Amino acid sequence: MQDEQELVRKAQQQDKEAFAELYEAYFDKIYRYIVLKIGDRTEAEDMTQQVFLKALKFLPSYKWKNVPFSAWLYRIAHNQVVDHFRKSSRHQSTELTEAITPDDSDQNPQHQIELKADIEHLVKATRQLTKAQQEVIALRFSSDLPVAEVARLMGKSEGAVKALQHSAVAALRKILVVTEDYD
Amino acid sequence: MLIKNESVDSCLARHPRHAAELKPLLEIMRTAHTASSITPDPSFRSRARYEFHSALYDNMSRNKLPVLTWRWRWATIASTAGVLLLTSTGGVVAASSNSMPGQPLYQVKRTIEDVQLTLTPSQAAKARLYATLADRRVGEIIYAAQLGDVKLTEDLTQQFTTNLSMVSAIIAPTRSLTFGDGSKQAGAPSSEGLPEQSTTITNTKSAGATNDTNVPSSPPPAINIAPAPTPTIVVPTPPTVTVTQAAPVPAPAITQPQLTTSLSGITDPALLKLLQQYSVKNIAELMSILDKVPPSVRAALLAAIQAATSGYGQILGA
Repeated sequence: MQDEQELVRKAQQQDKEAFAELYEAYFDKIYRYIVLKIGDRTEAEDMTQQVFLKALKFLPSYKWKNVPFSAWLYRIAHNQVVDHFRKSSRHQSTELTEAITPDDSDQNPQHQIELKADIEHLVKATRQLTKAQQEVIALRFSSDLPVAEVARLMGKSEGAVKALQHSAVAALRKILVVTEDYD
Repeated sequence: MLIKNESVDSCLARHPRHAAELKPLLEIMRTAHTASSITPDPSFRSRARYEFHSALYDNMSRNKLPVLTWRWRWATIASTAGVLLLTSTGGVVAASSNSMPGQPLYQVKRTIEDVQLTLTPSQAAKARLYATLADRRVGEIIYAAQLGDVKLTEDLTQQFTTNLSMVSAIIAPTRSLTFGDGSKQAGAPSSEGLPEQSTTITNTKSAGATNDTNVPSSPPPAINIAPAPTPTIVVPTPPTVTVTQAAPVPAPAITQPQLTTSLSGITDPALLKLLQQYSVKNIAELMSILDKVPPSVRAALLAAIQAATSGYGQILGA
């Protein structure tokens, strides 16, 4: 991808291809972030689309502040998730495994089944963490963002993010061990 | 460990004193990393891409006229009216249709294309128009490559792949195209207000979200687990082409897409004919200049050839 600031500048000057490139770069990551937070494929699809349509609508007012453009997209996605939970009084259960479409470059069926099972357990376990712990897990592990960027997104120090990550992983370990004991 | 895709054991070997404590945590982190394998359903991706690109074109076409002083607006309207007047005689349209990037009428050409897309009502006609626009981009790619302009060649190749993706999204919304460089392309904004632009994600009090120090949320309700078939998308692998910079490049053995009369997804005979003609012509023209362009731009040109071969091949069902 071209220099991101340059792409954003071009997109703000009505360069469709520039914004299309940004869309392609972040579409999967935003979808992954949302589906991990809400566990509902259909809703995640709609919300992912809304994120980019909102970004398109409000792009003229976006100001580059030496943070990645993704920070703004994640902010929009986060607000979509908050709105979603506020509107729905109960968390709908759904066909979560339909959301789990592992990268199909791996054609090994057995591996795919195991991967789906791992993801299913992970998503269920993640829902039992605190909101901040969920945020760290979603940003660090599903979106592969470095600690520094997660810290910027969450408005915390890198040390605080690392501590949160540690507590989230420890909590996940307890939850997943308990789950295995009951399986 | 995650970034370098190391095993847990190799990581523990570097920290033997803390291995007992680290091992369970690393295993959990590896499990957590499986979340990065989640990808959108291909049919959703294509559908979303098409809707997004439609919104993109609508949005940017609508915002073309700058909100400036009334004098500037009237000047723009007058010049546009002048273009439209001349358009009726075909003079400017004909001249601009042959213009290349950097030439005076090129912007007119692209503006006319945007207007055409906006005014084309039927999906079938839009698909034919996108195919034609892709063909125009190839002509511009050839121009840019002959100039030795790598960036322009790459930008135009990207635009070409976008146009082909739009054709694919219209005729086969469940399919995603994969282009030679491994990149993938597939195929109504909320009126809700956007919070102030801030890069900080916080659990804001106004949103009523929980505080960071809250106890974990109650266990979620049971999630229905139903095995779902993994969609298999078979994409023809484009041929590998090697470039030797210093020596003249032999014509690569790129197979032309196999054109048949029975092709899934294309029910419009006019579109089928257009795509068949364009694919043969464009791939041949791109390949014909491969050893005539400056060495610095050959890699970009090859990428364009691979994109054309992959894109046309997949659309035509090769």
